[in-house]
Amino acid sequence: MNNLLSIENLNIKFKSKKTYTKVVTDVSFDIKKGEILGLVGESGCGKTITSLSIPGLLPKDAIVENGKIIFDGHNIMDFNEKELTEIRGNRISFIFQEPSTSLNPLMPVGNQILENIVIHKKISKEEAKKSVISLMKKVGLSDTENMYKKYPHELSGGQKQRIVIAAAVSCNPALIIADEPTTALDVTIQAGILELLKELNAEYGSSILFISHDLALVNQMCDRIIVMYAGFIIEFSEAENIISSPLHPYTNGLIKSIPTESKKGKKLYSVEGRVSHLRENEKKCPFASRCTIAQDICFKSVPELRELIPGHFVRCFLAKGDKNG
Amino acid sequence: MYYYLRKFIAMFFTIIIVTLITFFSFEIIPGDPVLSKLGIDADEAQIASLRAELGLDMPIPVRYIKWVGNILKGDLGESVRFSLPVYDLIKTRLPVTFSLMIISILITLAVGIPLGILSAKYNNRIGGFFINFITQIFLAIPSFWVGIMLIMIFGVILKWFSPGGYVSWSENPAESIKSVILPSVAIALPNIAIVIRYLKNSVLEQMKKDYVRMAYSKGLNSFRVMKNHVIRNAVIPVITVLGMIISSVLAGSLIVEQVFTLPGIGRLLISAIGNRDLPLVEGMILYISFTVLFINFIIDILYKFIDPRIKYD
Repeated sequence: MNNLLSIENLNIKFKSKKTYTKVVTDVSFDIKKGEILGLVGESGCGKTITSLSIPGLLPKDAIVENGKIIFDGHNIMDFNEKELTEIRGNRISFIFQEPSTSLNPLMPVGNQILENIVIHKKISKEEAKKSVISLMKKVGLSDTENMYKKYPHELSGGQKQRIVIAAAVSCNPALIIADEPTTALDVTIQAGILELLKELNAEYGSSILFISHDLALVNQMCDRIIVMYAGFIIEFSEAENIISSPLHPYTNGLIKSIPTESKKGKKLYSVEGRVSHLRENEKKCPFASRCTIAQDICFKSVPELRELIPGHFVRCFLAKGDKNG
Repeated sequence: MYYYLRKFIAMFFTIIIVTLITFFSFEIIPGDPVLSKLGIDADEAQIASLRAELGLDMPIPVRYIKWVGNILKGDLGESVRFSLPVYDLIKTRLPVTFSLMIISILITLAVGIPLGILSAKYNNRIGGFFINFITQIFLAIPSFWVGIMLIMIFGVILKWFSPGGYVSWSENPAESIKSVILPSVAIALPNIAIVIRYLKNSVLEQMKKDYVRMAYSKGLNSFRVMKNHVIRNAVIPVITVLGMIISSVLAGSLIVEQVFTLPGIGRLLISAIGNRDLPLVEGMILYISFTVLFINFIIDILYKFIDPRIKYD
C-alpha cells in the first residue's frame, strides 16, 4: 500500500502573552491508502490541532514551526489559500465532534451538503441536488426529500451527524478526518455512525484518520493506533500490539482504565493528574510528572521515539521489549 | 401564523397601556388648558362654557372612553392654539419627519452593515483600536451638533444647498430628497457607529463558531464563508438593536428638525409643549408611540423571517 499522507516532524506552538506553548512536538506519521488510522489521547494532547493542520485549518494564533505535510506527493505546507480550498472538502474532508454546532442553524441541511458539491464540481444545481438526496440515503437518512429542507434544530443529534458525514463524503475524498465523531452522541446512535464510517471506508476506499479519547473505540475501528500525550507521539503500532502489549506507562494506564467484565465491582484505574505541556526548551519526559515508574533520567531529557520491537514505536526511557513494559 | 397573531395581540395590549398612560398623565399635569386659552382674567361663566365645550366637565373614565372612541374614528381632538383638528396638523407635518426617518435608517444600514463587517475583518491591534476610537467619537457626538457642522460645511462654506429650505415631495421630489439628506446624515451618524460596534462584535462572535470551521473545511474561501454563513447569523443581534435605533432616530429627528428648520413633527411638538396645547401634545405622543410599536412589530416579523429557530413559546 502507498502512503496517502505523510506528516514529517510537525511542530506547532501557540503564542500566549510572552511565552510560547508547544502543542505539537515532532509529530511524524503516515496514513496509507484505504487505512483507518487511530489517534488517541486525552483532551488537550494536541490531536485536534494536528488534524486541523493537515488541510491548513489551524486557528490564526497557531504557529507552525517546521515540518512537512505530504499529501498525494505534494507538500501542503507550500500551498496557498486558493490551492488549499481546492483540497478541502474535495480531497480531504472533516467530520467534527459536535453535530449540533457544526451545522449552520440558519441554513437548510440539504443546502449545507449541496454547498460542498457545487464549489468543487462543475455540475448543474439540479444534478447536485439529486446527488445530495442520494448521499442522504447512503448515510442512512430516510424521508430525504422532506429532510432536505429542514433546519438543523429540527433534526436529532444522530441525524445531524449523518448530514455532516454526507457533506464530508460528498466529493468522494481520499482522506476523511473524523475528530471524535461519536463523542457527543448517545451510545445507541454511536454504533450506527461507526458502522457507517466503516462502510464508507470499505466502499469508497477513503482513508480515515479517526481521532478519539476512547482507546477501546479506536481499537474497534482502526488498523493502527497512535497514542499522543502533551503534543508528543508516545506510542505507535498495530492496534493489537497497542492493546495486548503496551510499552508506554501512559498507554498502559489507558488500557487499565477501560471498563471490562473482569473489572466489575472493582475500582477503575485512573491516571492521576492532568496533561501539562512542556515549556519551550524544557528538557524532560512530558509524562514524567504523572508517571508511577519515573526515574531521575526522565526529568533530565526528552526521550526519543524509538522502534523497540519491529513496527512498535515508543517514547520512553524505561520501556523494555518484554510483555509488560 | 400563531407567532404573528401573538405578536399582534401583544402590540394591541401595549397600545391600550400607552393610551391609558398618555391620557392619565395629562390629567395630572398641573395647568389648565382653559385658563391658558382664556387668560387668568376670564370670568367664571366663560370658563364653564369652554369647559363644557371641550368636554372637560365630565368624569375622567367617561372622558377616557370617549377619547379612545374618537381616536378610533381618526379624531384626535382639536388643537387649542391653532383651532384646527390635531389629526390634520400631524398629517401635514408627517411626510417631513417620515422621509427623514426612512432616509436616515437607510443610510444607517447601508453604511453601518458593510463597515461593521469590514471592521470585523480588519480587527487587528491597530485596526481594532482605530475603529473603536472613531465609533466612540461618533457615539458621543449629539446629532444636533453634527447637524450644525453639516450646515456650516455644506451650506455656508461649500454652498451646495441653501440651509433651512424645505421642498415638499409634491413640489419637486429630487429637491425634496436633497433637502432632507443632510439632516438624515446627522441623525444617522451616531446610529451608524452603534451598528458598526454591534455587528463587528457579532461577526467576531460568529467566526468562532463550529459551523464556520466546518464551512472552511468544505473548501469555502473566506468571502463565501462570510457571505453564505456568517452575515446572516451575525445580523440577528443587530436587528434587536435596530428596534432601539429606530426609536432613537425618531427622537433624533425631533431635535434635528429644529436645527435644519424643517416643518416636521418635532417642531410642532416643541411648539405645542411650549404653548401647553395639550390635545396636540397628546395626539403627537400617541402618534409617536404607535409608530415605535408598529416598527417593533415589523421587526418581530423580520426576526421570524431570518431565524427559523424562533418558536411560538
